[in-house]
Amino acid sequence: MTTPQNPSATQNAGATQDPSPASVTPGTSGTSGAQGPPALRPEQTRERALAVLAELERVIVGKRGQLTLVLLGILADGHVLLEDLPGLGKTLLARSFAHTLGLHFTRVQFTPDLLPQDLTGASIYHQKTGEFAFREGPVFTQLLLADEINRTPPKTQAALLEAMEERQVSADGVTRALPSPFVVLATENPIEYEGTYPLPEAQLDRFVLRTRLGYLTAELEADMVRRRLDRGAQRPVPNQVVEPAELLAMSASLEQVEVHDDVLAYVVALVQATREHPKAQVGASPRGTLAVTQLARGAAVLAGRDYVTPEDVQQVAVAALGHRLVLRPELWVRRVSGEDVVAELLGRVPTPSTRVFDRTGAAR
Amino acid sequence: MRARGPAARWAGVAMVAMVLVLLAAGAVGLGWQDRVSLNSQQISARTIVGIFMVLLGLSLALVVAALILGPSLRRKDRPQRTGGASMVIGAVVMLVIVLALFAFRDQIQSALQGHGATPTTPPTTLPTGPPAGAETATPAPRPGARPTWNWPIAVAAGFVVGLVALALALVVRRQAPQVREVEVEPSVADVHAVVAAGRAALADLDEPRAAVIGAYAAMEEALARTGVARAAGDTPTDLLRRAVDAGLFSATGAAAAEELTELFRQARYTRRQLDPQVRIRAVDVLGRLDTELRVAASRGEAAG
Repeated sequence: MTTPQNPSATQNAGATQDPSPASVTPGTSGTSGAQGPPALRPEQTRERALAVLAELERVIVGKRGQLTLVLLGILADGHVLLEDLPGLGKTLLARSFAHTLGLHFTRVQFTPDLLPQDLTGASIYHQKTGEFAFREGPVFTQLLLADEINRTPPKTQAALLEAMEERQVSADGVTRALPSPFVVLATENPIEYEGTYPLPEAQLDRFVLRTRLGYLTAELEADMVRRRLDRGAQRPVPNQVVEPAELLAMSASLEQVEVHDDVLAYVVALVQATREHPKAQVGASPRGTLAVTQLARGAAVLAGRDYVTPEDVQQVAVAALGHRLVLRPELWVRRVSGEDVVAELLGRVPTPSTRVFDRTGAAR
Repeated sequence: MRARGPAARWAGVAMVAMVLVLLAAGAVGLGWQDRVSLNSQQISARTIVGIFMVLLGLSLALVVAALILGPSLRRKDRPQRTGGASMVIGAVVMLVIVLALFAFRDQIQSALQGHGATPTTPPTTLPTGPPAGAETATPAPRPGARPTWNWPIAVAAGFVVGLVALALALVVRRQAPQVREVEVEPSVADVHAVVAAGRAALADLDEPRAAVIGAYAAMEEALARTGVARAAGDTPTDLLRRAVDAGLFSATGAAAAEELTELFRQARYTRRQLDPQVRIRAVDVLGRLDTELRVAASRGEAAG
C-alpha cells in the first residue's frame, strides 16, 4: 500500500482513492456547497450508514452489532480499538471498512522493535541538495490499521497520541496536519496474551470505543466457511459505498441530533458513577462523557431519530466507557472487566423520570 | 487519578496503623519467646498445639463447607464489596481476637489442661483403675502459677480464628434470604385501567406533549399495579419488554403499546414543537389497546 509522500499534501493525502473529496473538513462540508457535498440530514446519513453495513455484512458474517459500533465510532470522529484473539477477523474488518468508505488505507504491523519514527516519519538527508527532507510515515493516511498495537512498547504506542487527538504530527519542530478524515482502527490481543505491552490509560482514553468480535456460533461459522468454498481462493472485497467527503458529511449530520438535558444528565450520572464505583480505581474521564454522547447521537441516527433517548446511551455505554476504567488490582484475577462494571451501572443508575419536572418541582 | 474521599483516606491510615500494631506485637512476642521455653512448666506445647489444631480443623471445615455451598448460594445481583473498608474491618476483628485470647490465656490453658481435652491426646481407658503414680503423670497447675503465652502463637491463632469468622460470615451471608420480586398475575381489570387512565390524561390536557407523556405515565402506573413496575435503570423499551414477557399484551396489544412508547419518547426527549397529530395517534393507540383488552376479557370469560 502506498503512502502519500508529499509533505504539503496533507489535504489530499488520500490520493490513491479520491483526493479531492478528502479535502473537505467537517466544518465546511455542510455549509459550503461549492467545495463539498450538500449537508446531509440525519435520515440521509441513516440511509448511507445502513448501505455501508449491508455491504460489510456481505464480507463479514454475523457481526452486525460490532460493525455497527465501529461505524458509530467512525461517525463520531473517533478511533476504534478491536480487542480479541488472533483469527477472528479484526484485520479483515478494518480493511473492509477502508474499502467501503473509500478511505486511503495503511496497515502497520506493530512489533517490539518498531520505533516512533517508523510511524510518524523522519527527516532524511538528501545528498544531491545537501538538505534534510521530511519523509512522511504511514500515519499520513485516512484509515490507519494499527495491527496488534500492544505488541510494541509504550514509547512507540505514545507516538500515536498526538496523531489521534490533534490530527497532526510534530517532528523536527514542524507540525504537519494529517489527512481528513483520519481514523485509527487498532487491534490488540488480550492483555494476558504472551508478549504484549498493556496500553497506557492515556492511550486507551484516545479510543472512542473498544469492542470485541468474539467467536461465531456454529451455524454462522459454517456459513462463513461455505462462503469461502463458494467463492474459491479469491479474497472478499466489499464495494465502495460512500466517498470520503460523504463520510465527513455524515459525521457532521450528527450535530443536528438533539440531546435533551435530562438525557445529558443521565450520561453524566453514568460516568460519575464509574468514578465512585468501589471496584474502580480510576473512573471514566470527561472525554468518556463526550464519547458516550456523540456515539449515542450516532445510534439515534441509525435508529431513525434526530433525538437521543436513554436506549441510545445504553447501547453504546459499555463500549465507550469500559476500556477507560482502571479496576482495583485484586479484581484482575477475578476476570472482572471495565465492561462488567459499566453493565452493572446501567442497571442501577436511574434513567430520566417519566414526567418532566419544572424548576419548582411540579410535573409538566 | 480518582480523588480519594476522606473516608477512603482514613481507611488507608487505619489499615497502616493496624499492620504496624500487629508487627509491633509480633516483635514483642519474639522478644519474650527467648525467655520462655515452650516445654517449661508454665505452658505446655500440647496445649498450644491443641488450640491450634482445633482452630485449624474448624477453619478447614468451614472453608470446605463454603466452597461446597458457594455456587448454589452465590448472589450475583448483589454488588460485591471490595476495598479498604473490608480490610480494615478484618484487621480490627483479628486484633480483637488476638487480644481476647491473650487476656484469657490462663482460663483457656487451665481449662484445656484440667479436662485434658486436647485433640492430640486421645483419652485412654484403664480397666483396672489408675495406677498409683497416675496423679503425678499429669502435671497439675500450681496454685498461683501464671501460665505463659507467647505472641507469635497468639497472632497465628488469631489469624486462624479470623479465617474461621470470615468463612462463617461468608456462609451466613450467602444463606441470607433473598428478596424475591413478587410477581402478581395481571388481571383483565388491572390492564383495563391502563386504557382508562391514559384516556383520562389525553382528555384532560390540551398540549400534545403533556398529553402523550400523561398517557404514558398512566400506563406505567397501571403496569406497576399489575406487578410490572419500572425499575430505576429501566428505559421505556425495557419496561415494554417486561410487560410483554409478563403476558400482559397480545401481539396486537404489544404493537399498540410499542407505538405509545414511541410517541412518549418523541414527546419526552425532544424540545421541538410536536405535531397535534401525535395526540390523535395516542388516542388511536389507546383505542386499539382497549379493543385488544376487550377481546382478551371476552376470551377469558368464555374459558371461565
